[in-house]
Amino acid sequence: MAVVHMRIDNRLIHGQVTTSWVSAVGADRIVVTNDDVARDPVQKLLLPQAARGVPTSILSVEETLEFARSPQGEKEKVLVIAKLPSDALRLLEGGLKPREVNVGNQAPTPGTRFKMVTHSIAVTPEEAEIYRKIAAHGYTLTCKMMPSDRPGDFLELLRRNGL
Amino acid sequence: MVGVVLVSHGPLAEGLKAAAEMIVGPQERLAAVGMDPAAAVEALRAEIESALASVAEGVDGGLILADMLGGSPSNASGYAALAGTPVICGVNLPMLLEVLMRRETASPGELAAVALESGRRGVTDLGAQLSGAAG
Repeated sequence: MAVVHMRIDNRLIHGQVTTSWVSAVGADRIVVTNDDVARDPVQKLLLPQAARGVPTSILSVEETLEFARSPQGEKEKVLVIAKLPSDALRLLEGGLKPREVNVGNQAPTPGTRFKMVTHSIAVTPEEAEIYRKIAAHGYTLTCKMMPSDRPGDFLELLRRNGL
Repeated sequence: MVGVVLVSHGPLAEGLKAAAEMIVGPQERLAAVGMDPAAAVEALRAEIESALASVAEGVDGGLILADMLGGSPSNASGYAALAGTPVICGVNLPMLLEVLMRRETASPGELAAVALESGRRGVTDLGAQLSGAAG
């Protein structure tokens, strides 16, 4: 599968994705990857509606890797939305090779030791380790809100926040 | 009477409520939920459903007007939609005003149809209307 872009975003498919990212990265399919979301029949019904006409699949990590190896998956240009950094890391470890990896939104989980590193990205010390492992797969992690934003280094942002 | 919940990115819902009340006066059973950029969809969903309960319980039901199909506010409203509350996406001021004026007697389903029709009719090109009137 030509994964033109991987986005880490626990808001999944929403306004920023449908209004700008899909066309900016030239995707003809959105794949949302998370084991819990893929098991939730309501989410599987709702998210394709949110994609406003872009073909959409809601898959577990394993299913995403299987889809990537399928003949259909190899033909398509796909925007993968990993709900959590741990989903993104599992996809990379499974052999997925996106052209770029960007951190979208990560709403904080109440009760965890998170820090807000931007107005919409919460990171715990455990997640900071996962982001570093993602980057170690050969990526400069960015956290661009819009596709045209200047790419900054997300790991540098983590360091500045003591993470 | 049908209770109405406005749902938006940021302060749009609160602003629409204030704008409508400037025109038709203070409203009962009209709630506004604006999403904070750091909010989780699950938290937003809980906020919407509690606002819906507060405006729709004890009357003829509720109607949700969301700012945009495919945004987190409309996504978080999807559970209410599946449970039978009409959710209309693409809210604008003409839509909201028409809904407020008709909600005393209409059912939620009828009000949803009113919202769709008035929302579409409310988007228009003033210049073209003026030149039509002048010609």
